[in-house]
Amino acid sequence: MRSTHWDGRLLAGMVITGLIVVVAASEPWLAPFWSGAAGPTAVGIFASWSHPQWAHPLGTNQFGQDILALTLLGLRNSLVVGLQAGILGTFIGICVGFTSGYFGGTVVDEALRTVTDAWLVIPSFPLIAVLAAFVRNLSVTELAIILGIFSWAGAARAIRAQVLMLRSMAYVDMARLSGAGHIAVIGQELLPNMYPYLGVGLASSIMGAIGSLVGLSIIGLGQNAFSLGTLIQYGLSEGVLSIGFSQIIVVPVLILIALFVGLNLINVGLDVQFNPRLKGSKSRG
Amino acid sequence: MWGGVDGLTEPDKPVLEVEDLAVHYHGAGTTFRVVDGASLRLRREEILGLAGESGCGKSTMVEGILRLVQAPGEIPSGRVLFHPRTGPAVDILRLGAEEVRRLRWTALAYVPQGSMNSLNPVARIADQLTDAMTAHGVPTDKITLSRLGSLLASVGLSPDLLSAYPHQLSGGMRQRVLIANSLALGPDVVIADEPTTGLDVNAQRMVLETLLRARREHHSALLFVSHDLAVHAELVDRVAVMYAGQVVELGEVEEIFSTALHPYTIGLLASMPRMEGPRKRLFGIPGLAPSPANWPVGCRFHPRCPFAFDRCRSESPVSREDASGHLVACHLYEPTESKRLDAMRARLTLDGGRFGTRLQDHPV
Amino acid sequence: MERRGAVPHAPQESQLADSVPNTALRAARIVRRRRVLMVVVRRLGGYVLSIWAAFTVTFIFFHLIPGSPIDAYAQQMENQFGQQVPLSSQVIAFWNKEFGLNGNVFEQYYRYLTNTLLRGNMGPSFIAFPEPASELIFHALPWTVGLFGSAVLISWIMGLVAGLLLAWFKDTVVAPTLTTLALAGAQIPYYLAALGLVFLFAFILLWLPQQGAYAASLTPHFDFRFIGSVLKHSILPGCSLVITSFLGWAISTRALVVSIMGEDFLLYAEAKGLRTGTILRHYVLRNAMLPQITGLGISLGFAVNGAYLVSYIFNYPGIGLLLVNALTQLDYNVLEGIVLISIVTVLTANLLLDLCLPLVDPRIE
Ligand SMILES: Nc1ncnc2c1ncn2[C@@H]1O[C@H](COP(=O)(O)OP(=O)(O)OP(=O)(O)O)[C@@H](O)[C@H]1O
Ligand code: SF4
Ligand SMILES: [Mg+2]
Repeated sequence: MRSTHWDGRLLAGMVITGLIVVVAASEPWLAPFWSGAAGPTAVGIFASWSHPQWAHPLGTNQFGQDILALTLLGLRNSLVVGLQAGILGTFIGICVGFTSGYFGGTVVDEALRTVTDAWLVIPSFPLIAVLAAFVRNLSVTELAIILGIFSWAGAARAIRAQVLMLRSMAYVDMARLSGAGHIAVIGQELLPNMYPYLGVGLASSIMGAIGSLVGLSIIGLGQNAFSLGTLIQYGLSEGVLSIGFSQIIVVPVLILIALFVGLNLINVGLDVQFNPRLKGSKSRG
Repeated sequence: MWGGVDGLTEPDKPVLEVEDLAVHYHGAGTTFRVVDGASLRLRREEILGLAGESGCGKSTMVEGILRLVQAPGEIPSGRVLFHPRTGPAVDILRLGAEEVRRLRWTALAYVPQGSMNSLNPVARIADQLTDAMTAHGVPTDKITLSRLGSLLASVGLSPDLLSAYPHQLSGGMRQRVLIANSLALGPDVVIADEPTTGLDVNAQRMVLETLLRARREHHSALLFVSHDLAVHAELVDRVAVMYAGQVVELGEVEEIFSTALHPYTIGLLASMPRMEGPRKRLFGIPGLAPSPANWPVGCRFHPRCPFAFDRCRSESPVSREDASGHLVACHLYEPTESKRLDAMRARLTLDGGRFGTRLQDHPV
Repeated sequence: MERRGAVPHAPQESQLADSVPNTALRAARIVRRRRVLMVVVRRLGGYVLSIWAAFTVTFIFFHLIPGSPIDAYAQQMENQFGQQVPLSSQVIAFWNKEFGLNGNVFEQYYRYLTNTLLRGNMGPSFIAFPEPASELIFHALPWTVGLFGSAVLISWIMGLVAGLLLAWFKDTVVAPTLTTLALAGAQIPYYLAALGLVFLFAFILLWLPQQGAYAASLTPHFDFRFIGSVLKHSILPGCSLVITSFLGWAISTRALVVSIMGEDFLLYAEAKGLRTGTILRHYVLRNAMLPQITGLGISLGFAVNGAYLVSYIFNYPGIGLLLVNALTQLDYNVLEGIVLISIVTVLTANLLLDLCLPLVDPRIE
């Protein structure tokens, strides 16, 4: 039974995340207000190190770039890479999790589960960082692919568990008995019941990918994707906290915190809203 | 015939009086009045059975008496008077938390329904017997292994099990551990909720025997809850029959079995399979049990009662007691309705003492 | 009276069935001991196998990435001298040998396994040539393990207490609000907390040092001044780890405790008239502890692997800082070593957990 009542956390998460996404998506129109037609990355257009003022709400940096416009650009890129990587990660997670769960208990399941468990154990951040450091000029898409490849295991494990549960329910057996093929059973019976969990998987994958992307940027890797982390890295290397330009670091950090809070609220909310196990109180016999 | 009865001191003095107890649950936008105006009186050292169909509120009533109702449940009204051996009666529902805590297990012990999960899975049996004793001031040096062992032995369990964990015990063994535990402090009242349900015949016998011995040795009174009338017939002195959150009839067990008064009790008895005697037809009470969210107005049994008349649909019957202390809540037993009562008796005689829908031909 | 007659005859058979004779118990114990030994052997075998697999995969990974240590070296020279430096074949041969790249892949693999796995030797480092990579890692390790380990322990204990309180008071107004806040913040990456704390405490309030593991004026010595300085320097990085992971522990503990509070055995404990303290300690906490101890073990396994960026942001001389330095100079051996040591700690922690959990949890045979 699904409630028509929306979980407050889910709503709050969607509002926060939605706002951030809308702002990020309108970056191409918003940023020129402050950066001018040349775009946020153009160098030397404005005076360097100007403090916040009407024309530059967050001031400008050493190269005379508008910090607000840069922040918007960084946000947009972070989200784009995060979304691409998240979708890829969720896709791999779905494939692995579904196959594993659908063939639960068989050799296929055993093998996939071993791989998934191993994937959860490997230190993904150093490996991603090594790839990003050694492969020169990693393009944005390549970076997203790498991040995606490293962020599927959690989703796969969750989806496997869910499929195992759904599979044990009668209607799947009925579909199978009525002669439907594996693909049909997955597509028609299992998938529709999995949408909330796919949402959870997607949100986690996106969080993982953005977390790694920003982390990489902070240590100066993956520079082709100008992310919020790149701004933070720039701020740290210029010591902006001591020279009164802390907004270069603080604003991206706040945006990221809001983003993580929003995505995680969506996660929690989806779980509460669609997981019957968490609803209602236990009654005793 | 069985020794303990001789030990009865003041047989008619009550030890526990439940008056108009209500236990309500809130959820899904409504109130479930699971127990709603139930009363009974437990005499010192007697065994009182609480019977009724599954879902009529027996366990909930017990939890109410013991003040164990958890949110979202509440006890909006009622009194549960406990009469200690010495001193004045106390209303358990009005006591402070610490006072209730001290009454528990020394005065009122509980054998919960569903023994499977009632023991702490990560503690040894010995610890779970001990903690109740220490909580009620038994000094540690008085809690010896042999004392704990004999407690288990009294329910037919090996003292070896003291060092076992609950998951190493079968369901029947756990049930008996719970019973042993309830007797640890020689309580005035033991409330046992379906202690025999789900046990095999041997284990059932063992449980009943232990409960009888508790009465003999500790002079405990027992409130014995079971939906199974056959078990009541074997054990109890008096039976209270519960329907829709209320006690509708209460009387000596022989009287209930020979001359039940309330139409619901009569129906219940008719649907009881008999193990001996000629092949008989099994009858069931027509209709479905009502929902606690929405009790029928008037007599709650009227939609299913073959003898219902106008009054039953609007006015709820009050409980009346005859000279022998047999209680019944049914309009038929009001002096003004004696004609109807005669008609009912006539009809019952015609039907061989039974009414209701025939369920099946009962083999044997 | 007739129907009651049957009751008092206690059936002796069932009494016998339940009391297990002593000899049978002893036999069962011997069988169990043998089974335990087999489980231990199997676990150890699995452990060795996983370590081998991890080392092999790491070998393949580092072989597959484009470029080689020689290129990295050339790159470094180029950065140093501002122009391309032609490497003589002798130099190349020297480096090849130094990095174990002579011979075919199988010889390299064999050498790699024997060197890393058996001798703990990962070859020379770049960033501090010719110091061995393993040396650098083992210098950084105590800082990371000390900082991360104590942060995990502290946040675990705090989370346990907080979760217990949140669950116990779940019907109040405050607790659900706090729970939602904890839920919202639990996934924030460590490094964001670190940046926030640096900004607040090291720059605005100027309370705490923002960099390093101890005051630069001190040399490592076992005295109060030095230890005090170490502690003071560990507050900010430690807190940035504690803040977010503590929220996670609080949430999982709360969920556990709430489910325990719905259990029948808790109602039974209350019916027994136990004191609240006893119920909390022996019933609630003991049941919540076991899963949480598992979680603690797993988290401690990630001690090396946990928070590279925090170490970097605070310039804390742990693995994270080493990782970043090694990355900027493409130091193969150090990077490989960091990856290997991370995997080994996780796997070892899992093994220890598998072996120790049955000692704590009676339900696991
Ligand atoms: N938390 C709750 N919320 C709403 N209704 C409840 C709750 N707990 C119990 N009930 C309802 O109370 C009614 C009586 O339950 P109770 O367990 O007391 O019955 P019972 O007579 O003991 O039955 P049984 O013989 O099966 O043990 C049931 O209809 C049940 O649905
Ligand atoms: S009061 Fe009326 S409906 Fe209720 S049991 Fe008696 S006769 Fe039947
Ligand atoms: Mg019940």
